[in-house]
Amino acid sequence: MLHLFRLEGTGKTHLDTWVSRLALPAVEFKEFGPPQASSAVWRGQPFIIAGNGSDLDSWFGSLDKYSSEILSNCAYFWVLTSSAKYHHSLLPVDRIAVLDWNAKEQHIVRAALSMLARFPRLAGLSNDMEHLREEILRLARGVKGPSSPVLILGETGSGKEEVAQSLVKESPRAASPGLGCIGGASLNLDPGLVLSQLVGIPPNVATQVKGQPGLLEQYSEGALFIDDFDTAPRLVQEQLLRITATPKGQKAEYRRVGGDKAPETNVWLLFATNADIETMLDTGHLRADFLYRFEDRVLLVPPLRDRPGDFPAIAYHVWSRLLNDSEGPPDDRVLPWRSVRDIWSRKLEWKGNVRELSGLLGLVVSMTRMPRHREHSTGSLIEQVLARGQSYTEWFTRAVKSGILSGAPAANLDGPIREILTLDSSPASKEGLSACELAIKQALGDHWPKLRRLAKQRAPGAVARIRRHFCRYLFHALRLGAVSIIDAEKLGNVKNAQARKHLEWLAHGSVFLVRPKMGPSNTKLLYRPGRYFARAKGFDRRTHE
Amino acid sequence: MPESVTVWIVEDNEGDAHDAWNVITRVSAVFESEATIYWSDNFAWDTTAALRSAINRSLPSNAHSDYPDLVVMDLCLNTAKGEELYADGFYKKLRDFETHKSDGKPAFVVFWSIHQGRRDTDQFVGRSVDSDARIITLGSKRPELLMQKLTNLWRRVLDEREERNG
Repeated sequence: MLHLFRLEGTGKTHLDTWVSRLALPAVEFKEFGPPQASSAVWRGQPFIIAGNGSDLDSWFGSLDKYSSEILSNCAYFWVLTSSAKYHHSLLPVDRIAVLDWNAKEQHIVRAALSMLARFPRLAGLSNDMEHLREEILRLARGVKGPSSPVLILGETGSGKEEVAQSLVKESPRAASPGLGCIGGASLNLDPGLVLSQLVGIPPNVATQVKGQPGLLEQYSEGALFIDDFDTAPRLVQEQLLRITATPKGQKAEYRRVGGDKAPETNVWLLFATNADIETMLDTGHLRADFLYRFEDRVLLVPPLRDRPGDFPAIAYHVWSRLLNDSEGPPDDRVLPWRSVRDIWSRKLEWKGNVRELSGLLGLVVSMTRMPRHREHSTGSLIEQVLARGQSYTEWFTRAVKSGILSGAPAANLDGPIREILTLDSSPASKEGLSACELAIKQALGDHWPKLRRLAKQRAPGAVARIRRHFCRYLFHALRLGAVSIIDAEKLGNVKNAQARKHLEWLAHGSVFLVRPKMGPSNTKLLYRPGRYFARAKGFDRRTHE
Repeated sequence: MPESVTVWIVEDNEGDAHDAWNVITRVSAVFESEATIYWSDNFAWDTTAALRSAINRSLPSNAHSDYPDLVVMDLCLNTAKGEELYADGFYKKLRDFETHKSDGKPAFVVFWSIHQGRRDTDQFVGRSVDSDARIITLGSKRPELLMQKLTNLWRRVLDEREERNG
């Protein structure tokens, strides 16, 4: 959407003529009058400020320091006035930001908007994000093409996976098989196991072991996103190094454990990490020659705190996603622009970046679903949460403790996890369930609706009860650090027969917890002490949409 | 110019309607806004006549009722057969009426009743709350509780209006 803010005294004829030539078939357009101009920078949309020189001076002069911060980092706003020579210190000098309403310069706006529309996954209007979009196009369509490896660097939650998805979408490899993902806890397993996932298992390698293609083969004509690659064992790094070392245009050969043939792959490898490269090299976690392969194909996603121009756009993007994904009656609550300004003006560290902002807004959306918070405005709910700390862990744990996330009374318990588990085991009031569900939902992301659908299919009348058991069990998984990898021995300590029963049928359906693909498919082993279980088919990010 | 908030009271008991009216005028004073209050004492749906101005006697009884911002609604009507659920029909008519509203969102409806615990009212309230995010239920008919809820809702109404107008 493009917003147009008309300042006092702006000739409507000039504007109408100019706008009529804008011709934006795929872009929504909204015009605002002078009273709304103060909100222009906080609405998270590309915008035009139209007015005479003196009115524009007054408008720039009226911006507080936070608005100025957003504006000076924003690559998608323009000034529309009577002369292209108009200048103000807050206007960028490295792009055309002043448009003459008597000139036919609409293409400048159109080009920028079409660039934005091309990357729906990459919300943000900052200069950094604009640069990133250009870089993605260069790498995905450039002369070296999509076969040379790319390194994506950025703090946790900054959007590295979205960058990888955009790279593939813009490349000739966008069609099937698309983008496969492996990373995090999956790389932190036994080197042999990780290698088997990557290179696969040849048929007839041993009795009772089925052959299985690896990710390198499955995504040979697509791309493989290797997240947190620094956690991969050296053996795996070396295998990947061989593949990245293959000259362009040639398929890389690799060897499977126990296999006599050397399969080939043309996979496009996209590596990502949030670790400090220098430290990784110093500590020997990364081979220097591995790093050389990337040449000029390194993308940096800056932390959220350093891209003020993105903040409002990301906040609205996340808000809309959360509202769409949340359960309960339809509620078209808007995120007030004053609240967006309030959140940014607190100058938080945002160590978890977009994920942390998503967590904050997720808490608020969760509260809006509780009948007792219905009467509160979105702004006041955000204030209630923000007042409890400086980061997501503080917001969440203190909100739970204070009872605002639950119908249960505040408890004097040792730690946040115990509080949540206590809430979870309390009678299944809708509100009591929500606090625990929230953490699970955030950990599971897009997979949560799948679980819910399954619960409905299985027992339409007892969805809430089943969800409660999921929560209880999954929270133990969370406590162990990851949902994707669960130590069955520790899970076995949960004395909850019903939870086990529900998990068992999920496991039978290969939807939730399954054994690693190379192992025997006996679900009874699910509870055998010391066994580890990998991310299952239903939770497998390789099933890329 | 102070903001004006339109509130409907749907309540067959005149004493309770007066309590609601008092609460509404107090809340409007807190926000320094104006309240336009309409009252229906019989749940009959007639947006021009039945929402009478019997409480605010300065208004003519056939005052045109605007789209409400807030509705404080009892659930049952005292009939010859005893208390009967009437809120369901009125609520449905209200939401149908609001589909013609060109600007803004549907009204917040506060179910204000001591008839919770009956099967028909409980079912109606449960269904409505699950399907409509703009319904608020109260556990009692205490004016203090209504005051607290209406204060929050009044703020929401003004916030939403501000957001809509920029």
